Amino acid sequence: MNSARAKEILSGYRPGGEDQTDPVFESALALVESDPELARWFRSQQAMDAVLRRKFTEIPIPLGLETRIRANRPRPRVGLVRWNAFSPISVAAAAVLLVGGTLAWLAPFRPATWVDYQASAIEKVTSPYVLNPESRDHDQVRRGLAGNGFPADYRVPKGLEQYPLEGGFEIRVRGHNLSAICFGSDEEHKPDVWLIVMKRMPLRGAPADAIPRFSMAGRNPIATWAEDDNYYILATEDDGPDLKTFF
Amino acid sequence: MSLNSQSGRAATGSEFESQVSKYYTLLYRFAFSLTRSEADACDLTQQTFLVWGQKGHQLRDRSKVKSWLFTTLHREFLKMRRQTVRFPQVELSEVESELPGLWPDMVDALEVGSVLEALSQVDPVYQAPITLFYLEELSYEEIAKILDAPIGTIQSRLHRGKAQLQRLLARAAVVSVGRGS
Repeated sequence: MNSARAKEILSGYRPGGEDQTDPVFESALALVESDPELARWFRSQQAMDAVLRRKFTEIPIPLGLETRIRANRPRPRVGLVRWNAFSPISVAAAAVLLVGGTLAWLAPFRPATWVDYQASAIEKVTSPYVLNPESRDHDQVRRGLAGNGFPADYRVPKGLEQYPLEGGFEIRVRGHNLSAICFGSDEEHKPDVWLIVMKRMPLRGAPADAIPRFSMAGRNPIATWAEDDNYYILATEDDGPDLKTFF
Repeated sequence: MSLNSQSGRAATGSEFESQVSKYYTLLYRFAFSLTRSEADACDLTQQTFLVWGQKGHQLRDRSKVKSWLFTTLHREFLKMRRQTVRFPQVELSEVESELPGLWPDMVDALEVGSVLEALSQVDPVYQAPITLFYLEELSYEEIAKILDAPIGTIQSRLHRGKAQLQRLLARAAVVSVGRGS
């Protein structure tokens, strides 16, 4: 190692912490011992770093910032509502409930469409879930899903094969079994991608062929297609990867 | 990312509160060093915790919360910067090994604002590594992950960035002395 390389490495040295035992710095620190010019440079850098480090801790924090952050915490979707039976809002809400209730009652008589299944499936994968099975091995995921009667004969798009697998979980929509295969990694900063698999059946608006169609389901980019006996939905987070790269 | 199957629950209110208390000052200082605007830094810090409140439950390894928050803030900053006009940069030579007539007490005499003003004129690619280095909260490995670059690249950016910063601080110190402060 020469002096220039040692300077580059030592620019990142922070005394008094983990850096002292970090092998990255070992050789460079050893060179400091034997090179007086490097030792001078290192001392001056350390002194300058100490001053600048202090400057960064002097950045003032605005009053009330912590309170504002706490106040902006996203609240759970379900909450208690105070009910005043005769307020205009209550009357309007009651009307909405009445219409909604009637539609809900009639819903079983309306044939479900592909969009209904798609919306329910996306809602399930974008809500908190527990992986079962949790595994990086497709065979294990398939066995777990098949064991409970959920689709397991899925085919992973070529470009998705290298994306880290996390596991799978089961989704029930309108009495049908759907499988969600989950990809992503916190460690590798890979955003979540879900492959949802459903057995083919007569369904208005369902994908007709193996060519992926790209669209949005709310804020989530999705791709849909049909292949062999299955319908597929590939979905990701709103800031997830470009799904086209997986095909 | 998924829920930890052992805990099987979303981030609770108390967990949210405790992470805010623990990290909001650090995150704000990181944001302010990048933006030099109190309003923007507040927005970025709040946005980071908003994302944490919405998606934090998906983080399986809870020991990585700090790193996750810094990564999210940096991404939000990059999004914000893409939407704004890039500020002009001062042309500087790439690397200067020696301190250009700059002494620690000269820097010490400068206001924080002057130091951050100098930082803002450093090539943007070097600004985040420098700030994370001086905030002293993250290991090299964590900094590399947050900035999505290999450790060697971070070392090199830090070296070059610090050299640029010191030249700019030397100018600021000269101006400051000239004003008689």
